[in-house]
Amino acid sequence: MSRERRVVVTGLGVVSSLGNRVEPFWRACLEGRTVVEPIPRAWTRYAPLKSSLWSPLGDWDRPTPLMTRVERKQMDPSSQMALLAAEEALEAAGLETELADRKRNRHRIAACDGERAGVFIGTGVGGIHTLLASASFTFLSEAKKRLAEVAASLRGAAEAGDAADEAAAQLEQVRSMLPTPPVFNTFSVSMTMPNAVSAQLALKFGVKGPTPTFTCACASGTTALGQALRAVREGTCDLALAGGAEYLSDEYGSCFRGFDAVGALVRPAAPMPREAVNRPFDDDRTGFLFAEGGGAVLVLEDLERARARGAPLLAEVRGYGETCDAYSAMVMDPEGRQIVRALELCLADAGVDAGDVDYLNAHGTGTPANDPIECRAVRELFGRRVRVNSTKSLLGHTLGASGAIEAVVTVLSLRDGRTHPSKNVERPIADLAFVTRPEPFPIRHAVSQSFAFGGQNAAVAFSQVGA
Amino acid sequence: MKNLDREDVTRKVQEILAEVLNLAEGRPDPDARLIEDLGAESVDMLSLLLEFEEAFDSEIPDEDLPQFVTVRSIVDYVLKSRTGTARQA
Repeated sequence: MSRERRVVVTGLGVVSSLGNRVEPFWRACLEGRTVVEPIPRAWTRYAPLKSSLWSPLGDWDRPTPLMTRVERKQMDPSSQMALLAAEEALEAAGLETELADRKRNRHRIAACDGERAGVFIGTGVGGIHTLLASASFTFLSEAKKRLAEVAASLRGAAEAGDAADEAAAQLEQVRSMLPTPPVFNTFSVSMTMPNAVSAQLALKFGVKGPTPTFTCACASGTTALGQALRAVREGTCDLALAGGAEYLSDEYGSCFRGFDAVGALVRPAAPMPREAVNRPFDDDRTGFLFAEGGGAVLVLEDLERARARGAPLLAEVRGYGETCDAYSAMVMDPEGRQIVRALELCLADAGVDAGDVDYLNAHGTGTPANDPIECRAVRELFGRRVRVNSTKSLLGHTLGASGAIEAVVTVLSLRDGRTHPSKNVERPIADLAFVTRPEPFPIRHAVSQSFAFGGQNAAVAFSQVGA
Repeated sequence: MKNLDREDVTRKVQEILAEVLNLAEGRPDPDARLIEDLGAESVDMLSLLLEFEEAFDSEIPDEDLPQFVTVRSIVDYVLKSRTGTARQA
């Protein structure tokens, strides 16, 4: 196998709060749109939450022959979103799929030997939605039955009066606070496991090469992409479905509460319009905007193979670097040394000088502590020339999906020679070239970077094909 | 849901089997055997369990699965469970 293979992106797919198809999503990004809504009211019944806003997905689903009604019930929303994104990405890449097994509704990629294909997916928390639903059923369903029985017996008691009715009503009120699924899902294990997303894509498309899952919290999607680059470059596979998926909503707001409890979420000090609360790189930033979820998949292929079949050559995936702070499970190392080193490794792998990078899709969460560290690292390595934006300023933070969605944005920016504004950077915290308008500018080389709870740092470099 | 008769239950069971097992021929014959005739595999039995539980609003213990042999035996099980006698079957 050649170790000099070049790797290109030939297809993109996305599911997000700004659209569940790439082109509408990209138009919304260029327009600087965002979706910021109050969190579900029910969540406030379970905890005194500090943050009150999130970015919901809206109507993200769509009919597809790839998923029957029965199959959907056996897949966590994170897997379903990844499958929709993969469907779009394969279609965009001109890779037709065909039915291989009618009974199991299994398909295959017509132009690719399944044994030469791989799936590389990042997810921060895997099927946590399913896990929490299954846990709530296990913990609460018998207790709820008992509450209903006691309430009924109070109402039916011979000496029942107003007091008994009131007590029964209160028990029923408590019961209504304990939502559970109607039945225990017998597929909870295969829906919850972090590798479920990779497994579902492999099953659906008959992918029989490497199908690893990367769980590096907020850097998961970027890590997955970088590892897919290495696998295709080294000849482990010819084609990779690479990306990330996350679904963070649950009946009780448990995921939200976890981030809220550590003060990581947006909490504006003064009243402001909803769409102004999410302010990465701005002096008035207060935390990140929690997103319901999202997913993105990129088709990576060996350049020669892609060229031979006349595939769209959207961008070259040029290099990858990863490091770990080994400083704290939740806090970035203030020195930012390992961020710089991840970028240096990425650029060295890409064979691109820092001074030639035109565009940087930043991690840009909007937390008070992290943004200045990132800015210092960017300034140290790239100076003021590189244009910088935060896709999280539009979408909020989709954790394990974010790196993949931001990679999609980076590829589209290379394709179109312009990118979306970094929303709400009115008083920038650093002297960097933040993108404020979607104006054209030459982009030959671009980098997307992500940093994780856990300390993982990852960066992927993309270039114009032939640059 | 409270007033399903044999015909209703049979139709529902047939619909679920046709959907879960992707049966090209549509609704299976009442005497069709799940494994031998309809090609059900172990993972299909889990799918069916989930679908029947939801459709008939009842919990089906795993140990009752051996009673699910033919379309007719499933219908019998569902009708018995609705009258509280399935566990003794």
